[in-house]
Amino acid sequence: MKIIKNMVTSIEEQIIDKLLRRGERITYSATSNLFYEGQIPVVAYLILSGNVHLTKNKKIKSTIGPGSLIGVKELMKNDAVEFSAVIMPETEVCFLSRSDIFDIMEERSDLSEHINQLLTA
Amino acid sequence: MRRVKEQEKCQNCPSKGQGVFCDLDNPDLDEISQHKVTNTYKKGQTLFVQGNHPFGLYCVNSGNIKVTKTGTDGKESIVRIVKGGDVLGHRSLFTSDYYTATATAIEETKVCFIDKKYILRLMQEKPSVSLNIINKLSRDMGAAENKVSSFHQKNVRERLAELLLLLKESHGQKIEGEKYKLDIKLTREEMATMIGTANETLIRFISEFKDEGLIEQEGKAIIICNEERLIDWANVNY
Repeated sequence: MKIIKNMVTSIEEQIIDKLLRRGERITYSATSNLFYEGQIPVVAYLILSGNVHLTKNKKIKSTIGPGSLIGVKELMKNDAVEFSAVIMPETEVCFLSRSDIFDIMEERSDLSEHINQLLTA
Repeated sequence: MRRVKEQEKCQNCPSKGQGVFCDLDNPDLDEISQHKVTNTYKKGQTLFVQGNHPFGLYCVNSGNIKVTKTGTDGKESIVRIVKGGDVLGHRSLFTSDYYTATATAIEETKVCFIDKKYILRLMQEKPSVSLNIINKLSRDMGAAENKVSSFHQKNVRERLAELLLLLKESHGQKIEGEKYKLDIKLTREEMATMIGTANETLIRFISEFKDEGLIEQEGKAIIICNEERLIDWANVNY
């Protein structure tokens, strides 16, 4: 689905390593809602291991795994997401806050260029 | 610059004057409005869950949120109710602890979120924000101390009377004469967990309070009719 494609970005390993140095890594021990449809994510999530279900009207529409980045565009542009994201137990993510993303963008590195590309895509 | 709806700007917050940022000037409030994320949570949706990593500070714009702790037996107890102008997650700003409670909307609730890095920077630059957060923490500690002593020293009847008085202070709407309607949607079960008793016991005491003319019921809403007698029953010095 096009909307899911817009919301989720696959990230190359080289970029993942750089993002990991900026964000914090956490592992969820239980199923939890990262955000609900119609909301703006409070942080962006890069999935490192495990799975996140994207749901609409409580039905799973897609399952995304390691290397997927969700919510960056919506967080930075103040746009609502069209799907809820439910994280599965033992899934590890790296989260990036708006401040983290602004810090990256100010650096003018290849990482900031990558983030800019994501936002303009 | 991101699009920020006019009604979502801090200057237009329905709880303006009650929050931790309210002493800031308009340019500072504009900057916060640009940075924050505003969301509406439906009844039953969670802002965060016990055991999860804290991301920042939640500032309630309007509505009500229950903060609950789940015990090892799976039982949920309400530790506090958060309303418009209150903040959530401020304790986690200064510790690396995971959330020790779950925050769930008990009605449609609008909440603003500010990430930890930004709020810590703001606290360094604007002492009024730090002082207001310290003030909130101190009040929370006072309320927690009162709750502990109530649980130790008071019986269920006294604790229910005290809860009704606290809810009158936070959510009471004067309707006529000395009557106050509690403008909050709490189930009897939720009220029972707030005073550490069984549902049946709470219902029995609510009936007693009604028979004694202390309270009335309008549908599910409770109306405080006689605050003075309620103070006597609560065994508190107001």
